[in-house]
Amino acid sequence: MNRKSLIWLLLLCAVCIAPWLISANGYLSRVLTLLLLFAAMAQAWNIVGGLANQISLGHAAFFGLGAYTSTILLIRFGLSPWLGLAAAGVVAGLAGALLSLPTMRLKGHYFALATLAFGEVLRAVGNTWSSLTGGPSGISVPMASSGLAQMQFNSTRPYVYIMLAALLVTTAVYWKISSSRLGYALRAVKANVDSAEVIGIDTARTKMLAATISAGLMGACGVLYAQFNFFFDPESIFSLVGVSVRVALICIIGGIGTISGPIIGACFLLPLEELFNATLSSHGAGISQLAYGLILIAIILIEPRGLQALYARIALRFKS
Amino acid sequence: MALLQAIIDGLMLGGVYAVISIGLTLVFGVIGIVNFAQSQFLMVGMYVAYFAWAFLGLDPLLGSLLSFTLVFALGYAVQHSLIRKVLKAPEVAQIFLTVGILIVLENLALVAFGSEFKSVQTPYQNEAVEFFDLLISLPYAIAFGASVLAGLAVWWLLAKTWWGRSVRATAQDPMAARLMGIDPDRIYRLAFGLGVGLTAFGGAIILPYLTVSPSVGEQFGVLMFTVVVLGGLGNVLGAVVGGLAVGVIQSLSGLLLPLQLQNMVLFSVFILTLALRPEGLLRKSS
Amino acid sequence: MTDQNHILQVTGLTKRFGGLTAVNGVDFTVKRGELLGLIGPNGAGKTTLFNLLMGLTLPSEGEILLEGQPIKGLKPHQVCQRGMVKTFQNVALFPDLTVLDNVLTGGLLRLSLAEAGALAMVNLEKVGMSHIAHKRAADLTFPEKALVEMARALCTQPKVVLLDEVMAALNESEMDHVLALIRKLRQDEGITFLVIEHHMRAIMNLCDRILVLCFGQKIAEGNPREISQNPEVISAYLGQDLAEEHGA
Repeated sequence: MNRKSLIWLLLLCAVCIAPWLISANGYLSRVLTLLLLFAAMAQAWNIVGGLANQISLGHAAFFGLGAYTSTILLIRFGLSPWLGLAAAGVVAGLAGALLSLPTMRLKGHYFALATLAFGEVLRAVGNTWSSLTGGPSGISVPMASSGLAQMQFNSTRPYVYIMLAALLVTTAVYWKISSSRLGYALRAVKANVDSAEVIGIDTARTKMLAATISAGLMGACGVLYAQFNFFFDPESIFSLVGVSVRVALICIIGGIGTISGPIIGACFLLPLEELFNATLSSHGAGISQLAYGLILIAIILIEPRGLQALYARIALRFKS
Repeated sequence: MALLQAIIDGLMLGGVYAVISIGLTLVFGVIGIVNFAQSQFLMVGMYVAYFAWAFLGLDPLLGSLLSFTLVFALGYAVQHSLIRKVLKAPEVAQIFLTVGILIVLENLALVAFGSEFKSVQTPYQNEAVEFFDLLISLPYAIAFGASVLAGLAVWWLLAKTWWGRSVRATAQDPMAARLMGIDPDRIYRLAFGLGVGLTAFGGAIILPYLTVSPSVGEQFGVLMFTVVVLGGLGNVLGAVVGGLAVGVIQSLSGLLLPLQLQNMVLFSVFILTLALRPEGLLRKSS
Repeated sequence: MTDQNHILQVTGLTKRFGGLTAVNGVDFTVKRGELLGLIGPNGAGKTTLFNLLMGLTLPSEGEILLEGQPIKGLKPHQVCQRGMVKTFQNVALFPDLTVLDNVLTGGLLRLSLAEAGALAMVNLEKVGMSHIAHKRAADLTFPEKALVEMARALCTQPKVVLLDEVMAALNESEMDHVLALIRKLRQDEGITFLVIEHHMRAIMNLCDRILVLCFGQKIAEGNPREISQNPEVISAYLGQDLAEEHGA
């Protein structure tokens, strides 16, 4: 086993052991849970952002669709969240497929714009369709008994493992796509659409497939969040800055289009956010977000390709 | 009759949307980036006008001129210190820089002014004029009038002045413009300043019938982008047509459709235009 | 009407871009296994013709039959599925991928990943580029890129290959190599080639038949000797003055 794999294996072990070293319901547990979840979400985003090179600023749409689907099914029909997970994946995946149709030929800014608009529109719909979603006051996941079957626990510790599993699944999916025919097709489409078409790649279907898988995984993550937080509202679940920008940023900071990028990015960004929240929140609402925005600008100006590229640049400078 | 009323209201709102959106399309047309933070400058403009009213007793119509000036200066500085640095960087960097500016502006407002909604009181706020069975809201009408004036001013600026020609030249070919003695960087600073200043102006003139809060920009984000996409990104006349169209669409869907569907209508217009006719409904570009 | 021997039939093919007619009422037929040259002055519409055949552009008028089946309106990847492939004049490789990855992507149409990899090496060997299989495509010289693109096209296991100035940047020996390769592929695998070239020597040596386009119209068709003596062709290339001199 080479050195890199060894490091990852050790990290995995560390994550598995960590929940037992910290308080079961404490702040650290919660941070770790969300870190793993957001890493999973960033990995799902990576499928479209990294492999297809399309910057989506609307992934919150799928996150929210997933959360609402399973929660509404749970409340109205008593459907198990595990089945809700599948339903959410289907609904979100379908939305991803549908959105990919009109955005097929869009690139760069235009694509980002279209996806952003989609996320925002769902946020507005979530706020106005009160009969379905509970409107701006949000929706609560009914508390049943604690257990795996109900995907609900009365301590944070089991959630860590659920989110870890989510991260492993999304990473496995990313890895599988990347090394499969779909991965080759995506890389070709990313490089030159016409060139890919003439050698037989159905570029439309390729893009749609990536969009569907990415959206479906994101929707599944929405379910996990709902079951963890027990409550969400349109503002938080469809949030542009809190979800869409955040997962894109995590992936970009860590290294877009790399399998470790989302994980590295989450390990950097989430603790940083928590640090800001812990130290600055007392000074008033918005100050930690402000710091976050400033850091974002700084990162973009210094090294937009992310931490791995920054590290490489620094290493190069030290060598010479 | 209700239909006609809705159309009239829509047109008046649309005039304002046009002024707000001209700035966005101008920035794209001249500098080549989509300014995701554009709606935040609207918020800043509104706050400037609000405080001008609260502390100086200035009617927002006059305050709007102050908004324009201050935000113009802000935009000038932002272009020079930030945007300029990513013009040659990959698109990802450009997108996230303006997104970062969006976050900073909104939260700066939150920290500075708090989250409560603030509104102004003007003598004409609740007045309306009757015109053959139609009710024309005075604040709407005044805002519309101001928008028309502003729109004409922009048109005159771009079409008739040397500066305007420089801007159009730079938009078409920065290298050629440079060879003619035009400094593209200076043009970009002026264009960005003008662009966000106009949006701020638009925010100020609608203050009489809206409230301001740090998150007010969010209401206008998708709307502005719909206007601009309809008219063609970069097409100033298109922004006017698009603005009026969006105003009418919004007004009609408010009359005819349940609340949940209203948002979808605008979004559908937006996404269909992007998909089917990304260069906008108008044929020529500015 | 459709002769089994005719792999490609084009009738009345026309393409207008606004006021400009790039291709104007072109008719021709290609026999299976034929080596057809396509020549003409710059701007004659040759690349546009290839784009029309491949489905990258929709014809304004006309019909295209591939193996007797109409393909007008099909997307390029569907045309490729039916057995036609095209290379690009300015070479369109995937810059950040290795040569091998570029080439094997062409094989994915019909083969598994492993099989495509094997076929890629075989075709790279054929064009003489297997020694740079692991180099990044963006780092190649222009002639290397052209050859790699040809290998990639071959991986789609085509029946008809449209080569757009693949020999433009090649030196004498490289050109001879490619000419020999094309002849061999025609012989061993029955592949039909349509070749746009400016190298007269290459065209005259290689092709069974030559089509001459000028301002979007077919002005001549025939074997190399006929074409080289055709006064209209000469005048198209050299200008009206010379044609008058020759008494045309």
